[in-house]
This record gives sequence, structure tokens and C-alpha cells, in this order.
Amino acid sequence: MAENTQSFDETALVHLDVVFRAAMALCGQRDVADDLVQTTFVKAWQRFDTFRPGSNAKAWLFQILRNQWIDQLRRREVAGSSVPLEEDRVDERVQVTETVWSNAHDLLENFADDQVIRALGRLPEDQRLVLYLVDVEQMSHKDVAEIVGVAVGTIKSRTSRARSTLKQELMEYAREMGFVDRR
Amino acid sequence: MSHLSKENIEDILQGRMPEPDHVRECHDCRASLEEARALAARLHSAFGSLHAGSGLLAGIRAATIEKPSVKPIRIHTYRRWWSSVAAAAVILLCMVPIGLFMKTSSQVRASQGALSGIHHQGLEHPDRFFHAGDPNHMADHLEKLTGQRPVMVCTAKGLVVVGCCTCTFMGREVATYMVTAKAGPISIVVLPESPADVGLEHDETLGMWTATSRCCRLAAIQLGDCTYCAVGDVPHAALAEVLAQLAR
Repeated sequence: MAENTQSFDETALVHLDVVFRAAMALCGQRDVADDLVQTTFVKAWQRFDTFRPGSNAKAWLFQILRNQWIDQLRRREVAGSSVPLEEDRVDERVQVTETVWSNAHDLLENFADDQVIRALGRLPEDQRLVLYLVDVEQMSHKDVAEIVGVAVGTIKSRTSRARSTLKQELMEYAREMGFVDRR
Repeated sequence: MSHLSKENIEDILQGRMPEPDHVRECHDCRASLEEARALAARLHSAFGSLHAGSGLLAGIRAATIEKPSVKPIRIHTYRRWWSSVAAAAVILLCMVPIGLFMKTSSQVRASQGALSGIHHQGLEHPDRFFHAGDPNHMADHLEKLTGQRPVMVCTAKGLVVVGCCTCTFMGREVATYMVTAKAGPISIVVLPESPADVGLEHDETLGMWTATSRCCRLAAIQLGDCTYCAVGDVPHAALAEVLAQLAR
């Protein structure tokens, strides 16, 4: 028992911060994230016997976290932001007419951390975790595809679309706060 | 080369594709790539400032470590088919109550862990509480949020209501408020479950339901359709004293 506990600590609980951040990316509120993380670790503990030592514990925890989040959404009957397949294509060329921030680094430094996190929280359900895993956890498209259970191409398109949506959300903030001109 | 596709940008950011020479020559593609890099970097740095509270770790430990994880059960093979069927039937008959017990036990542990977590979150983040001098105003506030008016403690009895808020308990929004008693801070959580559903046992001496987890003590009474659960790192008698006021 003590050995099992130590192993769980070293394998799973060491990722508490990382799982908590992912939960914040999904739900945006600390108390909801706390509850989600706790449920995730309880599930992980119950299934710890099925975890293969040496495999990717973080990916395993993210998978449980995502399933728990979907369960919660279903329970709250607010699920259902699935994206039509045709939107998953990523073959468009960069729209040269699309507004591109000329001073992206400087502009982004104006935002407080919680504004950036809130902006991510306003993205569609299917985009939040994907963008978090790719940009914050710096996971490969392949690993994220396995966690989310979709094709690698779909992950690429979701990441790209999520980044565009995040940019729009931040642009709104920037306008409200006067960092850029209102149009 | 034509302009970068969005897929190209994703591949470059992942280091799976080198930056083509075109990027140096094309201002638009260069700017798009830089913008994507800047957004990724800002997102990364924003989350770097977030950390799980120690209350969360305490809640997880209370909900997991005290309970052994489930081990697979080995079933031996039998020579004769009828003995296999008979053995399977016996195992099935035994497994149903065992399975129910394990599920219930795990839910109980998770519920009590969640209650401890709510108390610790309140201690660590008092800023999340709504506060009004009059407890009735706090009851009004909670009624607006949950549709149910909770019974509040009487502050004339030497208790101070620190504040109130809603929190998530096992996926549902419930009302909670924190009071400061002589023995220490105590959280009152209003639950729709019965005390037995969250694994509390009836204590004849105190005349209420109690439990002890690794980091907190719990006591509860039922008022109407709700269970009022007092949580704190204080003796059961102190929790009972606060709950007794609610029942009056």
C-alpha cells in the first residue's frame, strides 16, 4: 500500500500543477478546476493498476482529465460544440488581407496573465485543450491527437483555428483597453 | 514558393519543417509566423504563473491515498464446464455486492475529499467569498445563485461569518459559507445528499452525523431536504456546536 502510494506520488501527483493548468484552460475557474482535478486524480488512482510503467503519465492524466470534463459537460447538458468536418481542413493559404499584428510581441506584453487565460477560456470547447497542449505543454501534434482521439491533421487545423480565435479575443480586449484603435 | 499554409506554420512551430527561404522574402508570411510564435509564447508564459493550491493536494490525498487502488481478481479455470459455470455464478453473486461496495466506498472517499478541499480552498482564497455584514444578506446572495435559501448561523452566539460563495461539489454547484468559531474556522456546505450518502455515520452522543478524514473532521445534520455539513480542522464537538445553532 505504502509502495503503491509512493509510486502514485512519483508517477501522477508530480504532475498536479500541469493537470491543474490544463483544467484551468478547460474551465477557466479555479473552484471548478479544483473539482475537476480532484476527480481526475481519484479516477487515476482507481485505474493506477492499468497504467503501464514507463509510458507517458502526463498524457494518461490529460486523457482522464478530458474524459472527466466531457462527463461534467454532459451532466450539465452544455456539451456539444463539435466542429463540422469541413472546417477541419487546413489547406487555405495565409490570407494576405487578414490583419496581422506588426508588433505582436509588444502588444501581447500589455495583457495580464489572467486576461490571456480568460481569452483562451472563451474558445470553443474542442479548441481550448488542443491549443493548451500544443502551445503551453509543447506536446507534439501526434501525442495530442492520441489524447483527444482524432487525426493529426485535425489537431493541426484546430490549433491553427484556435490561435486565430484567441487572437480575435485578445484584439477585442486590446480595443476595450485602448492598446489599439477602435474601428 | 507560394505563401505558407496554416499547416506549414503549425509544422514550423513544432520544428517538423524548416523555415523556407520564402519567409525571408515575404513580409506577410514572416509576420504571420512571428505572430503565431508570439501568441504561443504569451500563452505559455501566462499559464506559468498558475499553481495548484495546497488545499487541492490535501483533498486529493484524502480522497485517494487512504484507499487502496483496485486490484484485478484472478479466476482459476476448472476442468469440468459445469464447475466453471457454478464458480462463475458464485463469483458473480459475490462480485455484485463487492463491486457496489467498492464503487460506493470510492464515491464516499471522493465526497469527503471534496468537502475537505472546499474548506481548504476557502482558507486559502478568502477573496472568493461574498461578504455582507448581515448574514441574511449573504443568505439572499446564495438564494439568488442556487435558488435555495440556506439557514445561516446566529452571529450573536460569538460566531463570525467570514463570507459565502458557491462551489462545485462532485460536479454540482452548492452553497457554502465559512464561520470563525472559538475552535477555529469552520465551513458549512449545503448538500442535497443525505449524510449517509457522503459516508457520515450517526453519532448517538452528539446526535448528528460525523466522519474524520485525513485533514479535516466533518459533522452534519439534515434540515428540510438539505444536509448541512460542517467541515474543519477542529474537534467534532466544535462542529456540533455550530450545527446545533442551525437546528434551533
